[in-house]
This record gives sequence, structure tokens and C-alpha cells, in this order.
Amino acid sequence: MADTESHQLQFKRELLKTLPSLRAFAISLTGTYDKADDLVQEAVVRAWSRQDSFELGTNMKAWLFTILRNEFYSQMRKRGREISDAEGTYTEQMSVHPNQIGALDMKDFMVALNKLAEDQREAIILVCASGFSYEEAANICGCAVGTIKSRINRARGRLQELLGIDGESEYGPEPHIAAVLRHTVSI
Amino acid sequence: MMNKPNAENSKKRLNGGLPPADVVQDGIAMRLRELYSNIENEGIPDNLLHLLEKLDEAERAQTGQQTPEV
Repeated sequence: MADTESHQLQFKRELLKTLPSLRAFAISLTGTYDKADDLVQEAVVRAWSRQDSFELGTNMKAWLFTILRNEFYSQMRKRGREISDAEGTYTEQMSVHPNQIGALDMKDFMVALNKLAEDQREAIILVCASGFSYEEAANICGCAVGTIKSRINRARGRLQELLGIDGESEYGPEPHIAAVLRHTVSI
Repeated sequence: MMNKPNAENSKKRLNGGLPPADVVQDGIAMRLRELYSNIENEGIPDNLLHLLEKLDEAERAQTGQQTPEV
């Protein structure tokens, strides 16, 4: 049927469009590329099997993030807490872009991010990186908007503490210099 | 007292789409977005694309709409 066909095509197109962001969210949640890829695969299979329940024109990104997040927490419950890995191997696996913020700086940042409590980490990622509004993030996490806001505040406080920065200061040139120095030394 | 609900409502509406500027602009948010967009720009891994192809094939087989091999 033509209608079904176009629903499927649209569904797939939107799914594909959302995958890079979904994967970035999974990597931020799990802290490792391997686990994130498994998680994304499971979420995609689940989303696929439920595509009839998705209404085109509604927020596919929020829908997929909710599915992935539920998958993540149900796996965590099944496997105990081994998924979260504070010194995460993804700092070693990440692709490095030294001419941007500075590879060294970014690794420190990722290690700090992995030290946050899961609920704080997901809240700050959803709103500050994935681009969801507070309301959307609250829907995805199944909590109140005020809870999302306070988790973000706590996440920011903890990150500032871990990174030794205050809220106002942007990172200056030091990380770049540090990265260049480290690069030079290692040659 | 009369003004408060209105003020809150308009604030809420303004914040409905995007987080407020203080969340967007500091070093932590900047770094978070950079980290995230670095990962996004890595593209979609092959195994994930293969999975989608398989799902697609399975679906076609199920609905009896076999497409000719290309």
C-alpha cells in the first residue's frame, strides 16, 4: 500500500538522520564505543519493531532517545552496574581533533563527565549537547522539569569542581599549548 | 501577586525551545557540544548500516514484497 510504503520510507529517513546524534548520546551514556554501539543496535531494532506506533511528524529524535535510554537502564539493571566505567576506554578510542579545543583538554573533560552520576550526566547531555529543551529532556527521563534543571546544576557544579574551573571562565589557550607540547614531547 | 504567574508563563514560553543563555554559553556547555559533535561527525558505523539493511530485507520478506536483486 502506498501509504504504508511512504510511512516506512519517511520513518527510515528520519531514523537515519537521527542516528549520529543517538550514537553520540549512547557513547556519552555508556562511556565506551563498544557498549554504545550494542546499545544503539538494540534501540534501533526495538524502534523498528515499533515503527507502527510512531506518529510521523512528531519528535522522532525524542522518541528514539527515550527508547535508547530505557534500553540502557534495563541493561544496567540486568547486568548490575558494570556498564558505567569511570575511566572509560572511550578516551582512548575517541577521534582526536587537536586544532579545536585541544585533545588533552577534551580527554580530561570526558573523564570528568564519566565521573558524574548517570542521572546528572544524561540531563546535562540532553539539554546542553543533544539540543533538547528542558521539557523534552524531562519527558525523555520521565521526571519533572525542575528535576532536570537541578540535575544540570549539580552536573555543572561537579564538572567545574573536577576540572578546576569556575562558571565564568572559558578555557584559554593553555590546553592548546599543552596539547602541542605533549605532541612535541612524544615525537 | 498578580504579575507573578504571567511573568512565569512568559518565561516558560521563552525557554520552551532552548535552554537559557547561561547554560548555552559557558565553557562546560561549549566543551560538551564539541565532544558531542565530534562523535556525530564520525558518521554511522558500518555494522549499524548493515543492521538497517537486514531489517529492511526482513521486512520486505515478511510483507512479501521481494525486491529484485540489483
